[in-house]
Amino acid sequence: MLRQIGDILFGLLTYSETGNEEFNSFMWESCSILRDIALVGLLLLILIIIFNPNLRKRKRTEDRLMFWECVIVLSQLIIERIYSYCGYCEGWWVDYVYFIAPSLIEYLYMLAILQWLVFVDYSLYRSEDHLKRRYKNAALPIFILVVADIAQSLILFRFDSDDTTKFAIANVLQLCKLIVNMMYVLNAVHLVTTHAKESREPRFIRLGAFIIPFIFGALFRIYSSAFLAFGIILTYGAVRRRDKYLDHDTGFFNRAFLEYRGKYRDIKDYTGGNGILVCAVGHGQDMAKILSESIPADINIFAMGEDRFLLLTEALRGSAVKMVVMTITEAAEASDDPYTPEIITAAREKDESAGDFASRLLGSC
Amino acid sequence: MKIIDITEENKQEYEGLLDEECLRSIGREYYRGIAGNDGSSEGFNSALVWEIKGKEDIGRDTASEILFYKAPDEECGSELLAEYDSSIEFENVVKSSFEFPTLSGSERSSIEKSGYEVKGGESRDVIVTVGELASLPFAAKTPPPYIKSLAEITMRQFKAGLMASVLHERFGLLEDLPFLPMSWYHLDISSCIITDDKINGLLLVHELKEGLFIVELLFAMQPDANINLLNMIRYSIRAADRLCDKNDKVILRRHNKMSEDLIRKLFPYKKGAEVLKGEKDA
Repeated sequence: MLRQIGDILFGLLTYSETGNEEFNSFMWESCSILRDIALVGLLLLILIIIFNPNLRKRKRTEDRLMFWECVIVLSQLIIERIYSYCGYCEGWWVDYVYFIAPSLIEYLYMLAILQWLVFVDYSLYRSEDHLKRRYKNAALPIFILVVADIAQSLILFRFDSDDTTKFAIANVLQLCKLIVNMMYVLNAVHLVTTHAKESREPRFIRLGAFIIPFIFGALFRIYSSAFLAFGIILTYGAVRRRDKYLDHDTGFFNRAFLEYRGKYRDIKDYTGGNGILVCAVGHGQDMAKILSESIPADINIFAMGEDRFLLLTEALRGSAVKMVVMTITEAAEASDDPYTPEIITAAREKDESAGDFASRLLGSC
Repeated sequence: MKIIDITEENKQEYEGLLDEECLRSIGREYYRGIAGNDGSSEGFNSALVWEIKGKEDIGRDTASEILFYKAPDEECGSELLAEYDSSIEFENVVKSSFEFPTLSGSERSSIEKSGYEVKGGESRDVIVTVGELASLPFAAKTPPPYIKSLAEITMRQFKAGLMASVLHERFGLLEDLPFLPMSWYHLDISSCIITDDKINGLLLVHELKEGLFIVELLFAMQPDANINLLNMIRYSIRAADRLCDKNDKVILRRHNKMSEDLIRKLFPYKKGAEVLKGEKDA
């Protein structure tokens, strides 16, 4: 029984016949359903690009990453559509499409997963430089596989190999592709789990939103990009969820996120930390610039309205808080239109909820 | 005996009494010093310098470490230590400790009488030469271009880097890290990581005296903190190898588990020198 299941899974994952007739027939029947799903996925991706101004303008890194992700999957879906209609067409180009399209779809599929990994990384650490450093050579395995794929096609054609050799080589290549895809996915899982250990802040990214469709896509071998399209639409929810909590003038978090974060920390029983409230009445824009330049990216800044900004940090040392106050004050006093901001600091009491702490601090300015 | 506070303003008067580093440290946020004159000579002949730790920290006891102690006789030393005890009591210190390479007989007995149990042991400091550092295999590889020396960054960037470090509760050996100027560190040997135009890692090296350096902070923010730490170490070793004598010494302090593990990994056979240690509840 286990061996049979193993054979079916191997067959599915390596895109070959499973050896189980009922299963093969189910797969064949489901193709027509998946074809329609793919069409829905294609339309949804087009709509998401057309109706989302952020994706259209692509000013932010997350929007750029997601836009190109959509483009990759759209290309994949379009090629899949062309490929599926080739059966009804005649012409010299049909053979070429039959020959090239499946490989092209697979490599676009791999690229889409890599692009998703980059998106996950960015949504956790929000660093462009880091992306450039870490993913400089990340597409290399895909490139190597493309070369290997072309080489195997040429060799097989040239030497007119028997079917067993052809299938064996094709299966090895399929397995390699699967391993590379799995590596990208596992890398994303590793990133998220590592980040969860280090950070006590709520995360917006949901891995399951992509991984579950990915698994379905890997199993239902044909039209896997349809699942990918749904995975992307669900993953983009992370950007939309984050956007909901942003103050769009400054790019900092808003009051709604302060409340959300407070509840999250109370549930998780995270205590301690310090709060710094900066009141720069009449100099809100300048203060926003000072804060975004001097405060590290992983420290949450909240724009509270009326030129007030709240910084919440895990740091417990008084000297750390002193330094923040000193640096902000010095920068404000050295600006083109010098001013001295009112800065209030407070430490969160042991038995105080995150919400009460924020209210206490905000009430003082 | 006459005992007075050593301050930023009067510290030059104690040039012959205090060592160079202690003299330089007086005036820093958490450094205190007293000097005594027992009347046997014209100037001050005894001194005690200490550092207060964790004074403003939530959930951490305030402690004090004696960094310099010199007394010509037991009586003088006892008076100095009594003055020290009352000073730290005033600052709510709960524990006092020291680590010295040697103590004279009278110094040791005055310290013991003051309530410290003096024990011999291995120093927390491992001292290596620049040559030994440069011969580490990983140092041969060229560090990436985003690792820079402090000399290549602006004051504003440096302050933002320090802020990143202290907001992540990383102070290295320095209680007063937020307040020390950039010039405190060796600008060419100290290094940093620049990511998205911000400093997100620092390796700060201070020159104690000519030919003797101490690594005071090693910090890198996620992502890729470990890779970046290694790259900064690589950069600083190569800079030291270029700018210093091979026999110049570098102090690596095992002040926490992480630094202990790192030093053990780099120099598994190196041990700290024999020192005298002691502590007491204040």
